[in-house]
Amino acid sequence: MTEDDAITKYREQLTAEADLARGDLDEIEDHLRNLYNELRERMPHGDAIAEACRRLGDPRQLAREHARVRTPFGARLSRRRAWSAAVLLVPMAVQAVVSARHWGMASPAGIECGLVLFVMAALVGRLTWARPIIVGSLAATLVWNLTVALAMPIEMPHATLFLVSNLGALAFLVPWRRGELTPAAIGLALLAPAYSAAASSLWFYASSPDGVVVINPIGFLAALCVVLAGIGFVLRARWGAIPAAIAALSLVGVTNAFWPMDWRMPGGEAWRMLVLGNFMFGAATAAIAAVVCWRTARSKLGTLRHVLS
Amino acid sequence: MRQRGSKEAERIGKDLVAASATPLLLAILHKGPSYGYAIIQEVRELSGGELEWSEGMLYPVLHRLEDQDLIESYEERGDTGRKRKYYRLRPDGRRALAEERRQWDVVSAALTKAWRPA
Repeated sequence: MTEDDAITKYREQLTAEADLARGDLDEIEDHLRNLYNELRERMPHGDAIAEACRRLGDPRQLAREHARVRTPFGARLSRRRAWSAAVLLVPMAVQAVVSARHWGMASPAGIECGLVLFVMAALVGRLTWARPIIVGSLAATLVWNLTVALAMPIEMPHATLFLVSNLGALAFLVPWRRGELTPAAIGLALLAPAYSAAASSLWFYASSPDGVVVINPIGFLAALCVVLAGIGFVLRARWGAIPAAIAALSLVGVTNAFWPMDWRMPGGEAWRMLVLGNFMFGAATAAIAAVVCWRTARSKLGTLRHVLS
Repeated sequence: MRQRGSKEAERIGKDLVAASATPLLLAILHKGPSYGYAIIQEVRELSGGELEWSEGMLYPVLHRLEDQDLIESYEERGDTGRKRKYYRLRPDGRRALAEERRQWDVVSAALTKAWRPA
């Protein structure tokens, strides 16, 4: 067995027992290589690799020890970073509250306000699943604001302001180190653009040629499924892939429903392209999240173990 | 953490090894940033080879200290060209080290007095 084969096998034994972030696995691999190089000077190759693995410890026990400290969603944010990001997110929370008060708590704005405050509280509490959700939301909002700022710099000046505030918060939350977030966390982050797309579809008042306002049940279904998929992710449940897949299909349906519509608003065509692009992007991220959820989930029904971790 | 030694009689008890892990790590990082493998080597050197840890178990301890904001990690390219994770002490870590030192000094002084021949 070559050195690389032995290291690959050791890594596989670690990941079979618990979810370890790539950065943590790389760190252990670095140690194993250093140890092997040291031992290689005193003993034959086969003995050196066996002794290096032995000294590093039983991979199953090591993985279990790691799992006690690290959560399935990667490293916990430091207090300083969590609070700094939370402070920068206050304007967004204020905007959500103002919007909810204007439209009512039962409106999409009210539900969104509840979700924003809930996830922000989780961030301040340093619950590890909050970070990927916020990173995904900020990235999606950033892409949206950047596109709007570039497409309509005069019509939407506030987009530039949000761009700056989002960038600031993102700087504290983004995983700067390679492999800091686990695949499960990345899947959770991918749900955020899907939610953003589904929620934005609820903001449009479409009317039929006879003037009747057409409600958008498929948009509601997409938003509901994304939230359910998020719960599934946090529980590490395989069933989370099902609502994520339904959300992807629903967003394709939303795109299909909005495609032929006549956009009677200022900058109609530009808005049409932006909004349809957003729906399609959301559908794609929900589909990828469904695959990630299926592949990274620990069991069919999941566990409550990681909810408060 | 678990200690190994060439002779059973020279082994330091498991509980003592575990209890000394945090102050040792904080003290080593107080001298300057370091990484896992180098830390293990330093522990071996400091204890004259008597204090040996199951090497992999060092990382969960480092990650726990990082989680408690006592230390922080960063990546830098090592001499092999591969990226390597280094750890350094944070201000909270310095305070924790001072407190650990005070407590261990008290224990050490008490034991020294207790073992002094009557």
